[in-house]
Amino acid sequence: MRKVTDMNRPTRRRMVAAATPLLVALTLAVSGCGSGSGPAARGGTPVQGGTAYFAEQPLQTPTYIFPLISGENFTGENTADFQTLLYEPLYWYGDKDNPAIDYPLSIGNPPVYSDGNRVVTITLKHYVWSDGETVSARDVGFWINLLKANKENWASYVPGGFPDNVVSWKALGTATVQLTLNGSYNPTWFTYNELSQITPLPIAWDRTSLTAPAPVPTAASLPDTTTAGATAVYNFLNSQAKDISGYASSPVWSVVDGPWRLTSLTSNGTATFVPNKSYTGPQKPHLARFVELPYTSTTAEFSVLRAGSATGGPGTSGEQISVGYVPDNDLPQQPALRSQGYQLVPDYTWGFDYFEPNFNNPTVGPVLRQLYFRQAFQHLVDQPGWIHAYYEGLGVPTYSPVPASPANPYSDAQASVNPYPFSVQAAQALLAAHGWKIVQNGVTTCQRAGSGAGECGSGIKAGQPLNFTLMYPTGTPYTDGAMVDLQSVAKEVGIEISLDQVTAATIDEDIEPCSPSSSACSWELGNYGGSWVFEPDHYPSGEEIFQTGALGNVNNYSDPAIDKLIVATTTASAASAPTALDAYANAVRLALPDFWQPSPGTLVIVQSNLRGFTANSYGFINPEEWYFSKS
Amino acid sequence: MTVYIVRRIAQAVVVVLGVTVVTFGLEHLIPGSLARAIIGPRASRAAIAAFNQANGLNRPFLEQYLAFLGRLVHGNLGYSYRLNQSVDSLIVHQLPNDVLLVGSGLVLALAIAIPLGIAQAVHRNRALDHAVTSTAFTLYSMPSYWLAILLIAALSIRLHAFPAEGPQAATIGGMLADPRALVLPVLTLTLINIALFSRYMRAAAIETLAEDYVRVARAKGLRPRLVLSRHVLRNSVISVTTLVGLSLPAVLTAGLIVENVFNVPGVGLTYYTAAVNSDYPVELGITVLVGIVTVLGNLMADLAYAALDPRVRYV
Amino acid sequence: MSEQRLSDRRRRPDAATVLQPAPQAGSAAAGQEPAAARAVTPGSTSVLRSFARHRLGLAGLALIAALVLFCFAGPVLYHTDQVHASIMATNLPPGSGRPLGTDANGYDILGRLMVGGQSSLEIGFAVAVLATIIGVIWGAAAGFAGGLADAIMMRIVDIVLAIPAIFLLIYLASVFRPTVGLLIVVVSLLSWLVPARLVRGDVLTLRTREFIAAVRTMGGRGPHIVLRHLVPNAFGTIVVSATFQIADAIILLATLSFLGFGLPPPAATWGGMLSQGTTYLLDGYWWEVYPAGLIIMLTVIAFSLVGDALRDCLDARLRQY
Repeated sequence: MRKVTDMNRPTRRRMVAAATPLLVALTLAVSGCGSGSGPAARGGTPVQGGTAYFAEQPLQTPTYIFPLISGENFTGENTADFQTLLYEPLYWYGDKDNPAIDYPLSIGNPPVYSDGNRVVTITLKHYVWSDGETVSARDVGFWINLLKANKENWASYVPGGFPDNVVSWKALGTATVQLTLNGSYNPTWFTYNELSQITPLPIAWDRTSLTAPAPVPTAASLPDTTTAGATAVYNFLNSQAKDISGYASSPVWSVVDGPWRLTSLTSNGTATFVPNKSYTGPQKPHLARFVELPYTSTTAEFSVLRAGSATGGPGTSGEQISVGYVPDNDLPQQPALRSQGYQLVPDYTWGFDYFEPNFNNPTVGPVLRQLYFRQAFQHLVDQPGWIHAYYEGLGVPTYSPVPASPANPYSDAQASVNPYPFSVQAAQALLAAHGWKIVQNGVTTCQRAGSGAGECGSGIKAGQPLNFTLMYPTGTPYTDGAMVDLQSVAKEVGIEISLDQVTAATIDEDIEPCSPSSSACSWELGNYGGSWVFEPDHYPSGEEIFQTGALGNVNNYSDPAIDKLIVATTTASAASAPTALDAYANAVRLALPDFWQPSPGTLVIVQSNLRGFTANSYGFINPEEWYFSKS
Repeated sequence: MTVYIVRRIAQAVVVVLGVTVVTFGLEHLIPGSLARAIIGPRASRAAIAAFNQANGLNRPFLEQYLAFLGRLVHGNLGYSYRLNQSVDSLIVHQLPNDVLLVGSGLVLALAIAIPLGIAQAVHRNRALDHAVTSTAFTLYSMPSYWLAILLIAALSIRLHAFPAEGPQAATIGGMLADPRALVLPVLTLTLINIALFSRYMRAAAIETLAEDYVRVARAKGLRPRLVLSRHVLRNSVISVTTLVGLSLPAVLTAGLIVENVFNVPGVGLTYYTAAVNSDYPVELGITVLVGIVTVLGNLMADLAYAALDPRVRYV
Repeated sequence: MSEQRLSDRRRRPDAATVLQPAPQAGSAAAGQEPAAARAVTPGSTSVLRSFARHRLGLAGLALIAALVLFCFAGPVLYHTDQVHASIMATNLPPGSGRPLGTDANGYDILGRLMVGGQSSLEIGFAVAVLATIIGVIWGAAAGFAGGLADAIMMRIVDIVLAIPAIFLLIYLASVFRPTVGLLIVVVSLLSWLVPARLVRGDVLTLRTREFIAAVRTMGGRGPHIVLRHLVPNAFGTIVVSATFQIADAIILLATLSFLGFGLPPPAATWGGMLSQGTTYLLDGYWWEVYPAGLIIMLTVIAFSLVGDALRDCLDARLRQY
């Protein structure tokens, strides 16, 4: 769900040398030498204790601690680098090098579907809250009740999705919760996209003020059981969350079940965590302290990396970053960083990348609606060239909405094949075959208007030129370069692209679904500059992006055939799910509802003697697995 | 003079109101959906509606503006859309950083540039003058971002003489306790300001030195140093005074680059980020503050003119 | 008349006048050419002549001419493609066929400096002229008028100063697509404030001087006084301010592109090149930074030398030095 608009989102993920040559080349080019069998090796004699310093994203400090988070506060820092350290989600996504669920790290055992995939039963392992309460089915129900009453404040809410598709929940004993759904769903889809939105909350939070004592699960009537009560509880917790300086000492927020508890959060955003002694999960922290450091810019963070100590652990003081990121414009300095001793870990989020054509724009909409035109335009996108020149090799091409890389259990063989490889001649041929008069370095115009074979297409006037305005954001150098190249290449077939660089917020404001007559539909081509990350929609079905009317369908794309395939992916049985997903992926990759572009990776940088770090496909971190070694 | 000051303060209120009207108006003229910028491009309609409702964005412009003024009068500068904090709280935590860094840069630059400018004027068109002029132009033509990174690269990364980031303490006391970390950010600010101030000082001093009263003073046998400090300095410093007055709001906004590069959270960076991210309450709140300080700065400059040059009179 | 006065000044012996006490300078104001008064603007031919003798001024002028030639005639002699990006030739160091290397899009940097300089010089110079003219007239008028007019005019300056420029630019960027003309107008509108404040400050002290009283006595009116007497005597400040304006405008173009209000690609400006290059500074791509920085410095120096020389020539008293 979350769009990675910050290019340096350190979605940490260990590179796996997969079959495709591109990935092999990347691994060879980027993996550190002398640091073991792969980046961020294990091994070494562990040293207990020590403090690890983690670089927060620039200008993203912890600002919201309550897991029922709204869109305004939804940042990577708040969710993956803050809340999940304290309050464990029901399921932990990202199993080392894989986008799958890490069941050993999860509170919930694998869910069991029954009654034709209409009922889900989840048993919970033994986890406890730090106030003594056991993490129970009631806690899951508490979360569901709060969500149902406050959907507009849930950043990941999709109408018809969770919790709308849960008719009711029931606690079958303290450790088993059963959900009854409003239909029959694909179990993989439901587990990966809907159950991913559950974070059990302690009943101690089921209150509307601090004056009365904290409630217990056995209490007679708890507010969350009614809609009005659930709203009141949300408002109370939200108002508690407004007092950032009080997080560390708050009686509410100090009830945690995760591996860490927060001991201090300064006004400039430095967060200090120590191990939670009552944590019952499989991996207790090795570190004595985990500190997150705020940075005002990637420049500031990188300066500290270069000037600071590349070796950490007990006894090391002064400027240092144990786990950080290398900004994109500094990627050429990898040799210098390695010679300082750092480990470099390339990390690719589980997602894919594209830029948007506006199908409803009154002038260019008719042109963009022609599949042959989109195919021709896609032929102008030089993904391998962009990755080499602008992404410094730290990118993977997008050929399909279920991408082949990063490695995952969902894509099929066709996802590694580029259906529209870079070819100016192919673009020219397509346009010429459909009645366009190509003028190189000039303006191509439609010579044969009409909707017959060999003609431009319906709604396109005779003499209509191929002029487009392409909006893209400031602040992402690789997008700058890519768009300039696209403009330059397009000139060779007489397509005139006017580049319009605006702030990222302006892009978000201007790219919206619209009707052709409204002024909101004046945008023509728009590039967010960041990829679509499958979080919390971890299963890559397209119902949030390509379905007619989907929230992520900002460009007014609508194809009933594709809609049918998408519905199939969410409702198929477990056995037929892979086929349904393939059918959807292969239809969409050819249909070009958007223009595919490379998905950027991040280069994570780790101190020389910090072990146990592995990249997570979604950007979650597990500092409880980290430890310093003697060498 | 008191009447004059009172009148200026009354005008100050008008100025601040004027600034807020213009800023508020511009915000409403920006096309597109603000909610999508704040909540995200995938916001549900319910979420967008809730956001608009909660922030009064559906009400008419005048009503919204008056509501803003109402809050302002009660000392409420607004609540950020994105940072989950009030603007007051942001300013309270960050303004001391700016006062310390930008203020030090200003004071140091003045302390160096004023005598330097006069010295240049006295030794006009000789080696010292040319050397300082070229250095001033070199520094001034360099964007401060470039200068800051060069300083970090040379003094921090290569020589490890100073830390790469500014002081990370949360209080002024804590920041002052880490003087090594103050050096690079303050140096960046000072160097560029010296270039600016010394040029104006030099130009003004050249003209003052040509004045007859200076020649008279010299002819009377007054020691050169006293000629300079008693006559030339006071009469040449008018334009620098103007610049200092203009630099006061800059304390709030000009620290942007230094805050960005040296990792010091400050009002300048918050202001810039809020503008870029459509975080209007933060922007408006800081604009109010900037407006007040601008007016104060220019008032102080005007009063300084009168103090420095008794011929200046305010009616 | 002015020629007569100038020759008087030239023949006046230094020592004699120096020994006269100051009050006498004031009493002499009524009749003859007062020693303490500043010169009335001399005729243009004498200015040109004195400029022609001013070595540094000539040097500055020559440098400006060289820069203009470089930017406008250079591309004719050294032809590079500044429109088509070259994806395989990005970030190459200086070498054969590319005297200053290539930038992040593969453009030849030497060629880009030439083409980019056209926009930069145009915008920088136009902004400096426009902003200075507006600012000087506004500030001088306000300072001279005093009272309510001064208050209103200066409060308007305060308002515009306090409006977040960044925000204004973002608004403009979201509504307009920037062109050279629009950039000139917008940057000038942001830049006239400082000269206005500076000139007003100077005028406040100047207007109480005896020679202004003298001109009034002789029947001079407001605009005449402002334009012919006050402004020329504030010329030092004005010239310095104008030369800084050029530097500011060129460098501001760099900031503007960060906000989405720069010239859209593939157009180039020196400031834009510098800001893009600076992000790669630590990578060792010096050729993307220093040439652009150097040429900006040279431009600033050139205009400043010319400005200093102009001020020297227009301010006749200083010619004695």
